[in-house]
Parts: sequence; C-alpha cells; structure tokens
Amino acid sequence: MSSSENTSLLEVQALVKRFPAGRGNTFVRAVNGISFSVGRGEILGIVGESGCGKSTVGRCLLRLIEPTAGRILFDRIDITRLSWRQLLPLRARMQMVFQDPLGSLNPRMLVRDIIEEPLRLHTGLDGLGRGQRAAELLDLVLLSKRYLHRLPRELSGGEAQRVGIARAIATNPDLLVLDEPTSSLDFSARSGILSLLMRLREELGLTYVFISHDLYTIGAYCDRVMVMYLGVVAEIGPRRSVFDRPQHPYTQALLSARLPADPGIRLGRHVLRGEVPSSIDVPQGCVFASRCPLVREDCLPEQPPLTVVGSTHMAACVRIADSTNMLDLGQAPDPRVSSPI
Amino acid sequence: MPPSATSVSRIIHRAWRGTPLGLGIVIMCSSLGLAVFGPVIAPYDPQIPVSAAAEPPPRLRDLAPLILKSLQGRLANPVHWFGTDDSGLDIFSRVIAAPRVDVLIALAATGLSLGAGTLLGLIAGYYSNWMTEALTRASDVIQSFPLFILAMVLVALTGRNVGNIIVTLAVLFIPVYLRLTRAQVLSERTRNYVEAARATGNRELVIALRHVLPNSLAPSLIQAPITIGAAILQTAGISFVGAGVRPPTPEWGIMIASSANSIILGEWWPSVFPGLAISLTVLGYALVGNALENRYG
Amino acid sequence: MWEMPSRTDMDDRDQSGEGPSNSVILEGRNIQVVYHSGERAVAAVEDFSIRIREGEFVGLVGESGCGKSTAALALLGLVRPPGKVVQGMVLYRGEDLLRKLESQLRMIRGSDIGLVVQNPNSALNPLLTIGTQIANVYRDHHPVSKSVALKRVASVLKGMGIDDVRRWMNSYPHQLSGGMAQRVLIAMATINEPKLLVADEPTTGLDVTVQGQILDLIQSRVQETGSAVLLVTHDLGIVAHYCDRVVVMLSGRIIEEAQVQVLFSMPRHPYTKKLVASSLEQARATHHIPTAGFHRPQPP
Repeated sequence: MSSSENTSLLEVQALVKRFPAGRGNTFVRAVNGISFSVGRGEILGIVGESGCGKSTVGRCLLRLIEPTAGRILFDRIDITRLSWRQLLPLRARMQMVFQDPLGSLNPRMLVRDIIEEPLRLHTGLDGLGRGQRAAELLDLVLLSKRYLHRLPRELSGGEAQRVGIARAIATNPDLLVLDEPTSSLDFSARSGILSLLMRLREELGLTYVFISHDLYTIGAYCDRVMVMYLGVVAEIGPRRSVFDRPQHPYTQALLSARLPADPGIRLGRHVLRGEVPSSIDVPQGCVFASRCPLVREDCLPEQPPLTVVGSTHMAACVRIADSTNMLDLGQAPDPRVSSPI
Repeated sequence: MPPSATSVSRIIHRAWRGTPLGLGIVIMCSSLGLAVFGPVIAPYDPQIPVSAAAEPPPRLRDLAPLILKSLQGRLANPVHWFGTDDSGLDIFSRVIAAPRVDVLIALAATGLSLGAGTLLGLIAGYYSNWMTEALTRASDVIQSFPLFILAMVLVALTGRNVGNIIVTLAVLFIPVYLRLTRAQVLSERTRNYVEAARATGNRELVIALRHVLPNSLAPSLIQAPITIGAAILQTAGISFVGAGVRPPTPEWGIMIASSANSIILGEWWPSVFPGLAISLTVLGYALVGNALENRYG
Repeated sequence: MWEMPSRTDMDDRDQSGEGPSNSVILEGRNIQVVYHSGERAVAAVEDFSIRIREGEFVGLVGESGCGKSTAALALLGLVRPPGKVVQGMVLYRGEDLLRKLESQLRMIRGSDIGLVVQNPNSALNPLLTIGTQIANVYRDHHPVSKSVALKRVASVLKGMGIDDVRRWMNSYPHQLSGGMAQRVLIAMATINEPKLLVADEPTTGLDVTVQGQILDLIQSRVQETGSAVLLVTHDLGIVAHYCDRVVVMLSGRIIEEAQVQVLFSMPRHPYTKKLVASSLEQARATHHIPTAGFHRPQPP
C-alpha cells in the first residue's frame, strides 16, 4: 500500500467499525474499510465532515474503541487484539489530545495529579521524581508552575488544552492523535496551541495524526492529507497535491466550499446539493454517489477502489481513469435541495 | 443619611435568599442536638408517668411569669410545657427525647441507602449488560410501590425493632440513589476525561471508582437531606399505625397514635405538639436540601 | 493577549462612508446591556450604536463572548433576565422599540423584522409539523385561513429550491438535519418579507459544504424580499464574501466599523489588524482554486 513501509510508524489495514444502531440488525457503519499509513515524524491530517468517521478512526488507533475488523500495526506490532496487559506498555508510546479541553480533565483533580497519572502508571518515578517531571512538562507547554495546584475549572480553554498536551507527552510517546484540538477554542487561543504543537513535534520528534474539519488548519500544517466521506477514504496524498490538484469530486467540492477571509479572492465554488446521508444504511456503490454531480452508471454497485494518481496520491473515483473527474467550479450558486428527510 | 435604595434592596435580597437555608440549618442542628442530648436534658423521664390524669399545657398568659420563675429556679417541679397525656407522661420530655429514635433511624437509613445506592448506581451506569438492566428494572419496581405500605409489611415480617426499621427504610430508599447516580454516571462516562484515563492505561475498575464515581455523587448528596426528612416521616407514619417502634418508647408517631382518640375529648396537646415537631423537622431538612439543590444542582 | 480597545479610536471608528441615498430602517443608539449574576452586574454590551440601511448586508463580527449575540437580541427587544437593557434606544420607524410593550414588539417581530437563531431546536416546536409552524408565522400577521397559509408556505419553500415540498411540510423538527432545520428557520423568518433579517450565527455547527448552501439561500431570499441583513458571526470568511459592511466587537464594545473592502485592506484598531492579518495570511497561503480542465492526474 504505502511505499514507506519501512519507516512507517503506524499502518492501518482494512479497518472497519460498526456500531449497533438499536433496532435489530441495523448498524451505524462508522468506518468502512480504511487503509493508510503514517510515516515516522510525519503529520497526517484526516479531514471530513460529520459522519465521515474520522473521530472513530482516531479512537480505534488507540484502542479506545475496539475495531470490528481490520488490523492496526504500531511500529510493526499488531495491536488490534492485544490484551489490556499486553497493550499497557504500548500506551506509553501513543497518546491523544481531545477536542473538549476542559472536558478532558477530571474536574476534581488538580493539574498536578492529572499530569502525574500517566507517570504513575508507566514510569518508576517516585513522588519527587514525578513532581519534577510534571514541572518540566508544564514548562514545555509554556505554563508556569503555579498551575500545578489549580483545578480545571480555574483554567481557560487554552490553558486546559496545554495541560491536556502536557499529559499526553508525559511518557515521551512516539505518536499523538489530535482530535480537533483547537475546534473548541477561541481564535486567539487557537494559534498559540497550534504553534505549540508544531514546536513540540520538532523538539520531541513526534508523529501526529491530526483530525479536523477545518481545511485551513489541515492545509497549513499537515504533510499528508486523508479526506474521508461516510466511512471511506475519498482521497489521500501529499498536502500540496491534494489541495492543489484534488482528484475526487468530493475533495474538489470540499475545498471549494472554503470561504477565505479575503474579499479579493474570487470564489470558484461548487456548492453541493443535499447533505451527508446517515451512516446507517450506507447505500451500495460509491458512498458519494447520492450527491455527486458527476455520478454515472459505473459508480454503482461497488465503492470504487483507490486509484493511483501520483506517487503517493490516490483517490477513489471511477472517472479518474478517463479524466472526467473534474468539477466545474465557478458556476452560479444553486441552493436547490433534494435530500430525503 | 438614609441608606440608598440599592443597598437596602440588596440587604433584603440577601436576607430573603439566605433565610430558608439559615432556618433549615438551625432546625437540622437542633434535631441532631436533641438526638444526642434530648433524653438527658428532658425535665422528666419520658417513660415514667408523673401525673394522674392528662393535664393541659400552661395558659398563654401564664407563660411569661412561668418562664421567669423557672429560669430563676423558683419552681418546685418543672413545668409541663406541653402538658401530660392520658398515661400521665410529660409530653415535652417525650417530644424532645423522640429525635433519638426518629432522627437516628433516619440518619442511619439514609446513610446506608446512600452508600449502597451510589455503588449500585455506579455499576448499573458504567457497565451496560443484561444484569445491570435487570438491576435497574428491579430498582424501578421497588420504587413504584407505595413506600409506606411496603415499609409496614416488611417491618411486620421482620420484627418491630429499630434495626429492622433502619434496614427496611434503607432498602426502600436505595432506588432513589441508584437512579440518581446511574444517570450521572451515564453522562460522565462519555466525557473526554474518562477516555483520557483509558488512553493513559487505567483499568476499567480504577476508572469507574477513581474518575467517574467522585464526579457522579453530587446529585445524591444533594438528595440526602430530603431523604432524611422522608425517613423521619416514614418512621413516624409506620409507628402511628402500630407497625413500627413499640410503645412506650418516645417517638413522635406513636405519640400521635396513642392520643388520637382523646382529641374528641378536647385534649389536643398530646397529638398536636409531636405533630408540629415532625412537620418542623421535616421542613428543616427539606429547606436544607432545597438550598443545596439551588446552589449545586 | 489582545490589548483592551483604546477609547480614542472609538470616536472616529466609523469609516463606513455609506451613501446617503438609502434610508436607515433600524438604528440602535448607545445601548447598554447588563447581566446580573448573584450580586454582581456585568456589562455584556456597552455603548452599542448601529445604523442599518435598506437592503444592506451588515456583518457583526467578534469572538465568542464579545457580546455580539446579546447586542443583536437587544435590537429586537429580546434581552431576558438575568440580562437587562439599562440604557439606549432602538429606533424603528421613528419609534423606540425598547419603550414598547411586548405585545407590540411581537407584531413587529416576524413581520417587519425576522430572526434566525443559531440553534433551531430552541425555535421549533417539537409537537407541530414544519408546515404548520411556518404557516402560523404567516397567519400571525395575515388574517387568512390555514389552507391559504399552507399554500403560501409551499410556494416559499419551492422558491427556496426544495423539491419535495409536501414531505417537508409534513415532517416534524426531530426528523430534520441541521441544514434542513436552518432552512426552515430562514423560511419562517422571511415569509412575511421583513425589512430586516437578523441572523445569529446561522451556520455555526453545520458542515462546511452545507454552510455555503445556507448562506447562498439567505442571500437569494433577501434579494427577493428586499430585506436588509444583520449577520452575527465569528467567521471572517463569511463576512468577506457576503457582507457589504462590517462592525467589529470586542469585550462588549464596537471597536471598528467599515465597508468590507476597507476593513480588510486598511484595518485601524490593533485587534482588528491582528485578526485580519492572520486571517488573510491563512487564506492566501492555502487557498488555491483548481481551474477546471487544466489539471490532469499525474501519471503513476
């Protein structure tokens, strides 16, 4: 699949996750057969709209959610079905930063205890050692030592996220999964957190899986980008390629839907009709067929496989083969709606 | 200079908001104090008759001089502030000795049901399988029965002593705490900090006890004072119908029961004073519970 | 950390340079809104003055907590306890809306001024069908029968580009997705062809591909009805492409006001400068519009 298998830290093969949807035999098909890899030191951005499954993928990587099928290889170790005991030492090497900064901290624990918890579980440090390390970590995330004795409710969103990051890097992990780390933050806190994350990545040699719905953040920071739609990979490749020469109609529409904060940029948009369908009863064939302006007969009955369009750039569209996969951008806005309820 | 309108209104505002809680706390502390010291400070032994027939309480116009004289120690015998009942027992002594039974039963029952209920609620909310579903349904069934009837029946079956009453009430109040804790646990367990604890590598049991439980106790703690009040009421109630504590133990419920008939004869004091005591005490606990809910709910 | 706005900027902050040809339909003057929590009183909005002219598309921009939503609600007399408008006036057709009775305000809201809120759930009755609810808004201001009202609703929905109108009108709010619910709110707010449409963060929380649909819909609806728009948002991208004029708020106060082109090219207040600078940088660095036809997939 990937040409960098020897240096890949993470490899995901045919990952599937289904949730029972309550009644009888219906399932929410959150992730429908996804494969990708992440090289050491790389930032892979996973982008998509609601229902695409990106958060589920992130959680499967850390086994916070159990995959229904497929394999996850971390540093060439198959972690998909390891027991809690076997997984424990690996947990020190892969951590997560969450979307809700204040919600990711136990409201009744002091910052010091929150950061020391992973140290207690994974290092042999005594109380004094842990305290020192906690202070070091706060330093790394640019918070003063005073914060050690605060409760989460005394923190702002940005400060809470820094604590979350400190906790995540406490055990010197190799991989960080960042699940929308700045979506809940104010504009002013956002840039601080992002620059902190990029600096830490350099200083500590981290690898990131960066999950977000914000195309600008993904476009600004990620090395490679994976676009998801309704549980499958629509497109994956180097950031430049995907953003400058998107091949999948969905990627094209998604990128064109951005509203840049510059009135001078003329919009070339394709406003899609309808909305993302429900993940229950995902239809047969290409998942994007119901909304794709270029849909044709051979888009059904199967989800198209990923077609190679560049050395590491792939997209799942049948029209790539005959180069008819480009949307017409700059058409007049059509607010017509025809999605079923 | 007259105080400005805003500062006066602010004072009134504060007093208005603080008074119920203040009153509730006073009542609560008094009930606890009497539970401990009541029988000791009672002027007469609550279980030994001291008069031949029922005597009414002092008349209102005699009250002030009597209070004065008793404070000066010039009275030969202590006054029957609340009168005596048909059996000659001093009602005042019995009323202030009763909390030792009523309030202690209530505290013990509430404590037990709080402890057991929150643990069961944690299990029911954290693990979702057929067993916990069955547990929740069973708890709902218990809660749907009229508390009073069930209490009566259970005590009648197990024996009319204080221990059984405590256990019965505890069992009957467990569903309340189970439900409150379970609801809170259900909402807390999906929060990011629980996922973070899992990602760190904690075992599920540790996560449940150390992270989820402490953050799920608040609604139960707020409910506790109200349960205490309810338990007092239940104890008095089942004793009133003769299924609870045995006479001549001083207890508000049986005091009302044994004197209910004599109201017809015009002897209002043996039933009214214990009745007022129950009402006031339950009100006090309810006020505290209410204030807690407004502040932390 | 952003610096607090300096007072000297406030006096000549208005660079709007609006043409005098369009008349002012709504004017807020020196509005101050205070929130009481416990014993403290916090000023959520201070010295808020705004003029909205016929047909204008005005953006009210600021970070969360800056008071923009509160200010917009104050213009409609919708501030409720623990908040209170302690000062100022809202002039509409020569009358001060803040001095009017709630019953009089209700006549104005829904017919002359429409409101689209951020959270559809708070505006929709879960027990009534969509068709009924929109029809009710129409009937509140026009004495017609239910069937006539429903016909009007159907034609408005059709005009908004909805194909399966009958199915929509018979659904209940819980059956709608976020984007659809917002369309319903827009229909409700514009069915009486108001002079002014106030939209409070109408696209926050919606998918990116749906945001464009909703904004285009608002734009086309107000072109049809000739309404002015006050759009409250934190997204400068929306402002850049839909608004004529922008009002920027910080910590409860207006710190800058200008035509869109002017704000992005010559921001004056330090906060606005920072905001615009980073947004522009981001936009220019990452925004490439692939031109159809010029790109072929790289050979493998």
